[in-house]
Formats: sequence, structure tokens, C-alpha cells
Amino acid sequence: MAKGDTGKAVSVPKNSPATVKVPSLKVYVREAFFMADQGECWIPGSGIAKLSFEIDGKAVAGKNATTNNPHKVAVGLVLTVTLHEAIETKARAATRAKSVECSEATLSLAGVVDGKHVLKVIPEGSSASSDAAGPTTSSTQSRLYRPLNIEFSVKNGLLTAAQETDPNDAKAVVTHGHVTAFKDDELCIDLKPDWMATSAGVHKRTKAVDLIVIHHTGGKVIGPALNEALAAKGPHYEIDPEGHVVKFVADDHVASHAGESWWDGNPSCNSYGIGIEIVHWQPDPPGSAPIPPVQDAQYASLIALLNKLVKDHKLKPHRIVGHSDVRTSKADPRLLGSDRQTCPGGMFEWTRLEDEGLGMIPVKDVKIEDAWGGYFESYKEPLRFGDSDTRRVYGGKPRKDISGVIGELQGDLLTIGYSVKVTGEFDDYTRQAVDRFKRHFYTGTRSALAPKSLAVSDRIDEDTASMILAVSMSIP
Amino acid sequence: MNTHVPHRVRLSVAAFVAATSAQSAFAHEPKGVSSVCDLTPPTPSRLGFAALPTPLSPEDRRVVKEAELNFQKGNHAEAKVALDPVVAKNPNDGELRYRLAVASAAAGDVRTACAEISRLMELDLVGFAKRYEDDKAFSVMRSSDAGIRVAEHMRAVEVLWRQAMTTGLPAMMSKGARGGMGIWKPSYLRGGVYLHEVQRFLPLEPGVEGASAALVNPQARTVSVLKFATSACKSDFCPHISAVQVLVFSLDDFRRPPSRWRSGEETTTMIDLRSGPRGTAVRIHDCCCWKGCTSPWTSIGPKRAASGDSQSMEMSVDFRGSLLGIAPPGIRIAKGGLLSVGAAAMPLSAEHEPTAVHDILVDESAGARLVFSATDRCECSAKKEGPIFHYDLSAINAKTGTSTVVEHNIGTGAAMLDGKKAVYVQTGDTVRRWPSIASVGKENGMSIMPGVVLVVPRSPSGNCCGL
Repeated sequence: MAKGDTGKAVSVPKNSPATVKVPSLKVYVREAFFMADQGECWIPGSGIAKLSFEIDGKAVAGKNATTNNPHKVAVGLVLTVTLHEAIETKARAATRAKSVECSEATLSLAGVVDGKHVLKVIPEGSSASSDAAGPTTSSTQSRLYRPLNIEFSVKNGLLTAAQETDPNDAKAVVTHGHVTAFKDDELCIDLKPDWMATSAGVHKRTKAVDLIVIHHTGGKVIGPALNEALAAKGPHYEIDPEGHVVKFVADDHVASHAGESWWDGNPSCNSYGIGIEIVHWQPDPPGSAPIPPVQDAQYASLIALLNKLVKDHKLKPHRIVGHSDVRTSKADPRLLGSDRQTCPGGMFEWTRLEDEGLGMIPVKDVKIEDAWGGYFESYKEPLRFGDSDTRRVYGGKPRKDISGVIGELQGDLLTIGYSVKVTGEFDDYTRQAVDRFKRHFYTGTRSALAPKSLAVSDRIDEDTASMILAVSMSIP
Repeated sequence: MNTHVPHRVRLSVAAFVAATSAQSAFAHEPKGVSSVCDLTPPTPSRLGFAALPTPLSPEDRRVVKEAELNFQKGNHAEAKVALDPVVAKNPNDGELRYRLAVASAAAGDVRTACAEISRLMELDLVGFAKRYEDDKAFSVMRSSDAGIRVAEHMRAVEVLWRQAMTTGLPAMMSKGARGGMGIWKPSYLRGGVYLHEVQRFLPLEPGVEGASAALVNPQARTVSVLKFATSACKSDFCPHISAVQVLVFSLDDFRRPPSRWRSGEETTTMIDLRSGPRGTAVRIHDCCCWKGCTSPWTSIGPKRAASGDSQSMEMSVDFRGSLLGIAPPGIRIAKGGLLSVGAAAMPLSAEHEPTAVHDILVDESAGARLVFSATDRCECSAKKEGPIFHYDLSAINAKTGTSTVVEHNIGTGAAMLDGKKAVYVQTGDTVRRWPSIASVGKENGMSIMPGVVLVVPRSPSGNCCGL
């Protein structure tokens, strides 16, 4: 006996082909971000309206085969929830809320023989775009998803396998949706949107895009950052730990991500910048606990996205900075503030971007001896907070044979883009800029070159001086 | 107890008291030592604190430590003699008084033990009454004549305490410092009432270590105390608030343990506390797990307050401080005006923004109303990018329906009436008092006791258009 489309038992004739043994498949689809080790990391997920389905390239008929309304399911009432809950409970703390909202469709499997097949889940308005991210301009829809292809196997009328696949590349890892569970004639699917419209802190841009600011969320999962972006403020893009890119704000709109900020002579980086958040966090305090690095998939997606943005907005590749490079303080909008000095984090490897020609790339073979008044040709003591061109104090000592060292240092930092004032005094502005410079440029493959003074913002040794000069000289 | 006695010293109090308990004070009253317990009847002018308790000086801490060592060695009289002058120098330190009483009891000095406990009840009834009643160190004393006198004194104090609750100004006594990123770090906080006539602050809850705010609503017969931890964390979406706890104390029976509510979330940005006719409720703003980043309201403790027509109070607390909204029954701000049941809307100046938190003060007998609005929001638009942070105070003539802006300035604060309809307006750290609503705008307000506040004033949100 098997169940027909109506749900009533139907008899199976003898010697009939195996195709009639599983005449239907219940599919449950929801919008969710699920991580194997974290469980569902966005609450609330919800059912997705207006889905259609194809099996092996043909539209599928059946009850609710095209869903129109998310089906609200109470905890523990139906199998779909049981399936979802089983994986969630295993992965999550029991105290957290769970999403129990799914869209439900019963698909006819008439004519589907034992063996491998492909189910295509098609959200309304979706396209099989290979773009790095969602729509370039504002969409009138609140959500956009990409279709998800699922390779499934049927044997003796039961599902024996189900796995999302990339139709163009069998080896590719699919990140925009997942099969979260399957059992007999039921299949649970999560889709991640490409586009989640928000109006929180958003308005039309009056200045052209001229900067990209990279952030990290400070969290392990994307959930809080999603909710914040939808409810209060956020960036243009977020990149989850699998490398999936979600877009919230069209590039031609200002988003609220950088706050009080200054770069290359211009305040308020929100007005001319695009914000990208990477889901990752910084140990607090640094070194307190080992954490996984920013994922390769995240770098790959980020690089693809940056290349797209650089092309779309005709940006110069060096106009890619970190939040810590630009964030100034509340009290003094020209003084780099310490409240985001770790963003996008000491584990973010800027050299990965540099290897792709993105970001500020120091020129090679720079000789600091020829610059900064020749200070490092004569002396080895690091320059430090309190040094002064006026008093000709360098490295904490009077050096009457040299002048203009700090002014040159400040000029180079200013050329790079940092918010310093050329005063000839190694002041707070200079100290904060040097701190941010070290945090940016001594990461990734260069972290081994980090000077001993890395943790001390008010010291500049010869290596750091050379690096500052090398970056300054790279700015066109 | 939330006092300035350093943690290290406070820990040792337990040993101090335990030692006394074990020796059962008054088990044998030494001959020649007075056991008289003459008590002056309590008066409002002796109730509560005359000033914020101050931290002990290093020298006083040394003396207290030495007294503790002496006590542990059984030298109770020496401990008592050492503590005496320290208590005299720190009259608002209840913990010290309690320890002096313990040492005196152990030394057989009934007069001092009785006097200190009685004085302590006047100072901080709700903080020490139950502790005294439960403490084995005083078990013999409690059943002695002296104990009976103390119990009578406590009852007399409680009568005054309950009277003061209805006439005083619901307020906090608070001290703290603002750290990096504008994070408020409380070092002392008690919820209670301020008694202007005698210039004293009377605690209504026993003190909660690490408390960040208190919502005092005598009409609803509750004091809600909020405590949490703040992490600067220096990442986007920071600072974070975690380990949120709300303790709701009943004013009907201050000996009853508080109703408690805890949140397990770690990325909270704000907590809203509500107290009114339907009881007390809390909700958190946390993008972790709630649609719109805001949880539903959760009731704490009894669902209904003692008074069915009590005013509604709502306090929003974040890492920078708090805002307080007050609405009497049947009156609210909507559509740019003051709306009352069965009455025409009274228009307000546009400065009273719809997004502001409003305090509506009403003196029906005088036909006067006052509206204080605190605006603390973030604007991220093409015209402006940054915090909008101001307060506005308007006086309303209920007979003519006209309103006059009395004050408009940068900053936040709150306004409230005491039980005698005197007006208190807090702007920044300063609380001013007027004898009536009608006198606001006509007279200069009088500053009240330092440390007594309606809210912990917020600093403006920095970098509000950023993550």
C-alpha cells in the first residue's frame, strides 16, 4: 500500500514498476541559516512563500506544489518539526528559541523511477545568477533567493539520499541552501537569501561610491548581525561562515556601518563607502581562547565581491580599508577611536586580498634611511609618543643633528589615508594612526614580520617605519 | 549588600559573624557591663541616609581588618573598641554598624549592640531587619528585654517607613563612573524614596550587588532592581550586555525574597522594565534571537499590583544609563498632544518628539500638568548623521488647554512628583525641586541631595550610525 496525492491509501498492482511505490514527496522549505556545529543561527527563520518545483527539468504537480503561504507549524505537531528539531536540539542549547515555520508542499512523484534525480526548488523571482552577491540596485522584493538543485535517490519508493548540488560544477560547495534532513518521503530544505531588504539607517547616496570598508561581526554566527541589519542598522553585505553573501542595501544607498569616521581627508565614510561584514570575531581579550580563522570560503566570496564592486564602481583597488582604519571617536571626530580598533580583527589576513591585487599593497625595496630626515640611518631607537620636531626630540632623546622626522611620518600616514594632523609632534592622533597601521599591515603572511612593538602603539621601529613608507608610496 | 566596603573585607565579615554566632552572644552576660537598652523613638529626620555612603579610607580599612583579627582571636571588646571610631567616621555605612553590633553583643555590651541595631533599622530597615532577625549571633538578645525593645523600635520604624513610602519621591541613590565608550559603571545603587523635608534618602530594597538601575513604584507596591554585566568587546555591535537579572521586591512585605528573572542572552543592548497596574514586566533588546531584535514582554512576580489605578512607569536601561517614562492612568502622549480620557487633546510643542520618552505629571486639584520628554535617538539620513539627544519640559494649563515650553536643552533626564505633589526634574546629574507644578517656570528649582537621582543620565550615543 502507498499513499496517493490525496493522501488516501492506494493499492499497488502486482508486477507494476517501482515508480508507483512513492507517489509523493513532502517538501518543507524555510529561510534559515544553519550551521552544523551551531544549529540554527538565525531566529526567527520562516517559511518561504511562492515556491515552485521541478524534477528532472519538469514542473511538478501536487498539493501546494507551488506554495503561497508559509505554513506555521506548532512545536512537535508534525514530522517536519520533528525532523528540524532533531537536528537543532542536537546542535543548539535547549534554552534558545527555535524556528518552526516552514512552507510545505506535497509533490507528485508519479513517473519517477528508482535511481538518481534532481529536484529544483525555485523561489519566485529567483535567477540562477553567478554574481558574487544580490541585486546591484534596490529590489522591490523583500527577499530574493537563488534556485537550489537537490540530487536525490529513490529506491523501493523511499528517499535514500538527498544532497544539494551545483548543476554547473559537481565538486563545488553549495552555500545558498542545504538539505537539513530527509526521511522516507519527507525532505527538509533551508534556503539562504541573496537579498534581504532593509530600510534601517538607509538613504539614497549623494556621493559616488569611493571606498569599501571591511568589518567583522564580532560573533560566531550570522544571526545577530542579520537581525540588527534588518531592524536597526547594518552594512551593505554580510558574508556568513560558509561564504554565502547576503545583501541588504543597494550600493547606491548609504548604509549605517562605519559611524563617526574619516579617511583620506573625508569624514563620514558611510556617505561614500560600501560596508561588508564578515561573520567572525576577535578574542576578548586577545589571546584568551583559540578561535577558528576566517574561513577560506569567506575569503573567496569576499575577493569575488570586491572584484565585482571595484569593477562596478570603477574603484581604485587600494580604496579598500578596515573599519579600524577609519573609525574615529565620539569626542573628537578626527581622533581615531579605540572602540573598534580590532575590526575586522587581528585574524583577518589582509595579505590574502593583496595577493589578489586588492587593498593597499606596500611597494617593495623601500629604504627608510633616505626618508624621515635620515633618522633611521643614524639611530636605532624607535620613534615614540612625545617625540617632537619643534624640540628635535626623537626616540625620546634630543637629536640636534636631525629635523622634520615626525612631520614626514605624519605626512606618510596622511597620504595613506589615516586621520592625523601634520603638527610635527608625535601626538595622540599619530599614536592612534600608528596603532591602526600595525593592526592592518602586520597580519596574514606578514604577521611573522611583526615588530616587537606591535602591541605598543607609541613606538615606531625601523621595520615599521619602512612599512609605513612602503604603503605611503603605493598610494597613487 | 551594596556598600563601599571592599570585597576582601566584606568576605571576612562572614567569618566575623559566623564566629560570633558560634559563640552565641549574650549566652553569658558579663557582670558589670550595662544591659540597659534605652531607645529614642524614631523620627522621620533619623530615617535613611543623609548622604551617599563613602568608601572607607585605607586607614579605616586597616582598622576594620585588625578588628576582625582581634574578633577571631576572641578579643571581642578590643574589636568593638576599634570599630567604634570607624563607625563614627562613617555613619552611613550600615555594614560597619552591623559588625559593631555583633562585636558589642559578643563582648556583652548590650547597650551598644542594642543602640547600633536600632540605629541601623532607622538607617536601613529593609537592608538589615531580616538579617538581624535571622542571625544566630543575636538569638539570645532577641528574646531578652533588650531584644523586645529593639523589636518595638523596628515596628515603630516600619510605620514611619510605610508613611514615607507614600509621601516621598521615588528615586535612586546612585554613584558610579563613566568609562570608555560611555559605559556607566555603577559602584553603589539603592532604590528608595527621597524625603525632602528631612533631606534624607530611605532605601526600599535591601541592596543588590552590582545593581545598575532601580524602578521604584510605591503605587504598584514594588521596587524592581536591574543588574547586568557590560562588555566593551570593541567589535561591531558592541558593547554587549549579558547576565541580565531583574529582582522585584514587594513593598507589602520587605522580608519576602524578591521575584527573580534572568536572561541567558549575551548580546543584549537594552532592557525595558515596566511597572504598573498589571504588575512588573521586562523585555530585552537582543538581535540574537528575536524578530526586530526585541523580545516579548515577560511578567515577573505577581501579575497585578496592589493598586489597580497605579501609574505606569517604564524604564529603558542600556550601558549608557536609563530613560524613564511615566503615565498616570488614562493619560498619554499621542499625535503631538496630551490625550486624556473624556477630554480634548492638549497640543504640545513639536519638540516633544513622538519617539521621546515622556513623563506626564498631573496635579488634578491644581488643574496643572507637566510633560517632560527625553529624546535619545539616532538619525542616519542625508541631512544628518548622528545622535538626537535633548529634553523638553512643558507646562500645561488643563483649564485653557494651552502648553508652554519651559525648558529645551541638550541632554536627558526625567521628571516625577513626590507624594505631596512637589515636582522634581532631573537634567543631567542634577535634580531640582519645585513645590508644585504651578511653580515650575516661575521659580528657580532647588537642587536636592547629591546622589539622589530619578535615572542614571545617559550620555549621547556615539557613532550611532555605525556598527
